[in-house]
This record gives sequence, C-alpha cells and structure tokens, in this order.
Amino acid sequence: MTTNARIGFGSAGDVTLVEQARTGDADAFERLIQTRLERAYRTAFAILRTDWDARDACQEAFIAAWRELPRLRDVARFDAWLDRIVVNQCRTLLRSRKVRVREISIDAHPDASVELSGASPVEAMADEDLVRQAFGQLSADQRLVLALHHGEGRPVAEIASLLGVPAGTVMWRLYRARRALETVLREVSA
Amino acid sequence: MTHRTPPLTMDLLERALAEPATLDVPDDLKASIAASIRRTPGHSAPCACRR
Repeated sequence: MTTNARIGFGSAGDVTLVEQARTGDADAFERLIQTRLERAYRTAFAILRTDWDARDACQEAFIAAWRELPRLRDVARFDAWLDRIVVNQCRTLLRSRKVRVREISIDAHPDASVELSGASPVEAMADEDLVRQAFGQLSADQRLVLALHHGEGRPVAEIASLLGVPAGTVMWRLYRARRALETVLREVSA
Repeated sequence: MTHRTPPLTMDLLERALAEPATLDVPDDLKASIAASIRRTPGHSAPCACRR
C-alpha cells in the first residue's frame, strides 16, 4: 500500500543530483529519471490505462520537468513536484481527447448505492472489465481521483497535496466520481 | 450479449483499477526521454536571486 514515503525525498545524493540537474547537467537528470521512471509510469498507467498513453505522459512530463527544473525553489520537494507534473500531464492528455470523455451527471440515478457483490470468479472478471470501460468514459478529473485513490491506494491527504486542493475537496470529488462511475456502469452494461 | 449491472463495491472498484501484476516500464522509454531532454533547448541555470 502506498504511503507518504512515495513523495518523500530519497537521499543527500538525490539532492546533489537535483542541484546538478538544475544547472543543466543532463547526466544528473538522467540518473534522477532512472530511479523515478517506474513510479511515474505506474501512476500514468493507473490514470490513463493504456501503455502508449502512459508512455506519452511520462515522456512529456519528464521533458517539462527538465525545462522547469531551474524554477524549482525547494529541491527537497523534487519528488512531490515531479509527481504533480506527471498527474497534470495525464490530465492534459485526457482533456486533449475529449471525444472519449464525457461529463456524467450524478443526479441521473439518485438511487445509486454501493452494494455488496456475490459474483462468481468469471462474473467478477467481467465486472472488472465493465468498470474499466465505464472508467474510460469519465472526465479527466474524475479519473484522476479514482485512479490515485482506488488504483494506486494514495491517501486523501496525499492526493490533496498533489492536486493543490483541500482534503475535503478530494473527498467530495471521490464521491462524485464514484457516483458518476455507477451511472456510466449502468449504461455500458445495458 | 447483455451483462447484468454489477453493484459498484469498493472491492470491485479497487480490483478493476489496480495495476496489472505484470506492468513493466517499456525498455526504450528511458532512452527516449534521455534523447528528448538532450534535444530540448531552454534549460538554463537558475536565477541567482532565487531563495
């Protein structure tokens, strides 16, 4: 399970690498990439759900980080800063493909509720596929919070820090996103 | 084929959105990023007046 260590900074060596990279040392930046690419890729995949989209998001995120690194004031916040760039890049990518994303009104099914499931293993796999189909039709912001919290297991407080919003806002967005997912789920399984 | 609508339990949500067990970073992605940053202009030393 994910913990706050995810956004903690590695070592004094990492600080040195960030300082070097900030001055334009591409070798230092490559070493930073080496130890952070897997985490970035996993986050991007959790949000975007395809290999190629995750690749694109990582590529663009690391290039953006390279460009913006001289503006990072607190090098100890490098990991949290990079996390935010990756998530923002995923959001940008989703929004650039609006044709695949719909805003869902959670008021369409006011009786929607979370229930217990008694599905067989085969049904359970089919159910997971349906949820992923429905997830693919949510808005970028809805996908972000669901993927980060339910896919990656990040705590609400961490997501709040990542998105720069209060924890209560994240909880509200999670609630709305789950309700929207229920609505789409009914449509894709009809 | 028509499928019943599954109840959206927390368990189902987390299983559906969990990372695949075999998720691996593509072998060439790091090299691709490294090549990109070496071709990316505009990276300059930070301003001396920063905090």
